[in-house]
Amino acid sequence: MLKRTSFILAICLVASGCVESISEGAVRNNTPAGQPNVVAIAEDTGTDGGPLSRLEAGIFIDPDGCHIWMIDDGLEGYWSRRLDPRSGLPVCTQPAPPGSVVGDFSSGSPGIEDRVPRLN
Amino acid sequence: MINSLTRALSGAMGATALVAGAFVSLASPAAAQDQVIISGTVQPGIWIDPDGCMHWVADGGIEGYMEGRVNPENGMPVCLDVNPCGVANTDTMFQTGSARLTASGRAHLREFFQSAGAFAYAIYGHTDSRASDESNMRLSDRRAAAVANVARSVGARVAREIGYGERRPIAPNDSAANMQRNRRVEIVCYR
Repeated sequence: MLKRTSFILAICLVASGCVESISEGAVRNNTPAGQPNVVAIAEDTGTDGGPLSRLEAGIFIDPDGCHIWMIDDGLEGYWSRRLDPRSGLPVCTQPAPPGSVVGDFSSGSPGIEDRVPRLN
Repeated sequence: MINSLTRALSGAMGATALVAGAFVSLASPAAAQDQVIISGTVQPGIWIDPDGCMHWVADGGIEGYMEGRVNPENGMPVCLDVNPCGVANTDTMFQTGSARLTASGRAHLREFFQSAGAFAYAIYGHTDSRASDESNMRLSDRRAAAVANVARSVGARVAREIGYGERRPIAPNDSAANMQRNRRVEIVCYR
């Protein structure tokens, strides 16, 4: 699981012209009275929206050498571990060095430029 | 934008209040058991990865959430059978009780590993439930190793080779046909 977007929101607050923070699909206020709020749904209702089942993943090779499915769906980022369907074991044979991303993980998202803060 | 920020802030404060409420109710353990505070609901979708395994996925507006779906009984990933890269019945590759490949079995495997095109392979051996658990573990280990050796002989990379013996049947061992299904070597392609 990944929550990466707080960085990007912070950047949006500083730099003007961040349309996505408005239209990125607030879903919290549509629940009937007396019911718990729906805090997340199976669809991206933002400008790069669509059902989440259609996401396309690349593979991130974590520092231990094991594979994590990685999806960049505009503002949302997703990580989920790759497990062998037969044994349930993690997949840790490296087609590339740890830290690499293999394949297209951008999910074809249009129009949202990522600005990743450098940590050092 | 300011509107959405206000909403986000009030949401955050609501969460704080709920946490405080939960803390108070935990002060009395009996009450904590009947009083579960539901702070929200999530209506996740399912994303299916290229191996066929399912992941819960939800979009919370700006946040995204994802986690692999598991079988509550055994913790295994829940997967569709979309990548039947290789399940071979061992009857055609080995004599009963033996881990020595037949000539045709070896030729078949060699051809498979030369054309499958994965960057690595996982090889799992399985038996039916006849004979002892211990000897089945040994036999499935040696059969997985025999298949793995063929893979390596044609330059394929073997990520793991494991014998599960009779412990992971795909059918109940209650008929000749079902036992035959359980006698198998599974090959998973890592692409």
